[in-house]
Amino acid sequence: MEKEFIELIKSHQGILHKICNIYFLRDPYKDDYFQEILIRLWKSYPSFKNQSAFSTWLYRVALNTAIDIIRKQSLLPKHTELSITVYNIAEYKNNTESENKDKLYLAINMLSDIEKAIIILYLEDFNYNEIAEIIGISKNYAGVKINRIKTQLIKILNHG
Amino acid sequence: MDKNDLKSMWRDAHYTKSESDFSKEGLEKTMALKHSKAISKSLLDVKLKVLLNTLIFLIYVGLMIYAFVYLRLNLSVNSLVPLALVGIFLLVTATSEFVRLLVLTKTADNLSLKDSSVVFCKKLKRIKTTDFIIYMVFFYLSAILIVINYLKDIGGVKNLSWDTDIVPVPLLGILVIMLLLVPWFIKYLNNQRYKKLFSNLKESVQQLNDQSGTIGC
Repeated sequence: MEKEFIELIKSHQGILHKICNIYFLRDPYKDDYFQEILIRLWKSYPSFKNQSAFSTWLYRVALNTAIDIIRKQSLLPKHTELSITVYNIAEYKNNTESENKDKLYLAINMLSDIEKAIIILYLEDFNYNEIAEIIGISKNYAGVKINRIKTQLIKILNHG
Repeated sequence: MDKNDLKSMWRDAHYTKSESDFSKEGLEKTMALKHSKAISKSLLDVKLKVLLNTLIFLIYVGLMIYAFVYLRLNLSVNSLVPLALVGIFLLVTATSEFVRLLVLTKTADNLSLKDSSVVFCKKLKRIKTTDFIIYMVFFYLSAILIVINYLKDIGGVKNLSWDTDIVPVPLLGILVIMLLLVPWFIKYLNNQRYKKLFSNLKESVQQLNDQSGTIGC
């Protein structure tokens, strides 16, 4: 089981990096939270029964873990608060080489934890059914949410 | 900007793989851990606090049992009050840290994001309610015991008067009312402590509630 898990994680590691970059952008503990997500994935792996694609399961557990870490921040001692506050995009864009990537990440960072999860799944080309399953909402509502978040994101990207 | 630009921006952003690859050894090492370094450290801090507070409380309870049961010590209300207050303080500190540890270690990663939020919210509420019931039982029992001891000290209800040598009735009344109010005060403190967590959970659940199924947190 361990070998199988390692192989699967190695082939899907990009997903974990994307989730960490979205939820823990510029956080000093980012690497640590990345490790925590991996550990929780491994702990949850016995419950993965091939009923859905591995990537669907991976997203569900990893997103749950990332949101859970953020939620419990206020209860952990001697921890700095997560830097998920609003950044000034206009100011930031001049100091970076990969302007579009940073702009997009910073814009997504302004969304709520749940909205971030929905938009990652949309950007990663999951269909509405899969998004609905991971998030736990109806397919139609997933569509409505995605449209609202897209509009919001485009507005942020265009106006800063 | 065209709506599809978001997807192309995302694809462009991840076209080159900048993150380092996992090594098999690194992954195996990580999988052997219970938690990541920073989280382990924080949890250890909480666990040590729980252990220390519980130990102090148990030593205190042991000493009280030794004094009142083994040595058959018979104290007046005057002497019992400070002892009861110390016991209350130790119990409150021990349980509040234990509750924090419980909240920190509860997870529901395998469910959908909405179900996970709802389940966690319910768990949190259950923990808070249990905590409140423990305080209620302890403080209300303490109040009853103090009143019974007081009545025993003065020789029954018939001897109840405003001017007594033991403890004046108004002072006793204030003490009992204070004891009865403590659980509610702690409930308020707990609400403040978990306010951020609850508002985050509520926000998540509200955002995911559509017309077909409204679930509360």
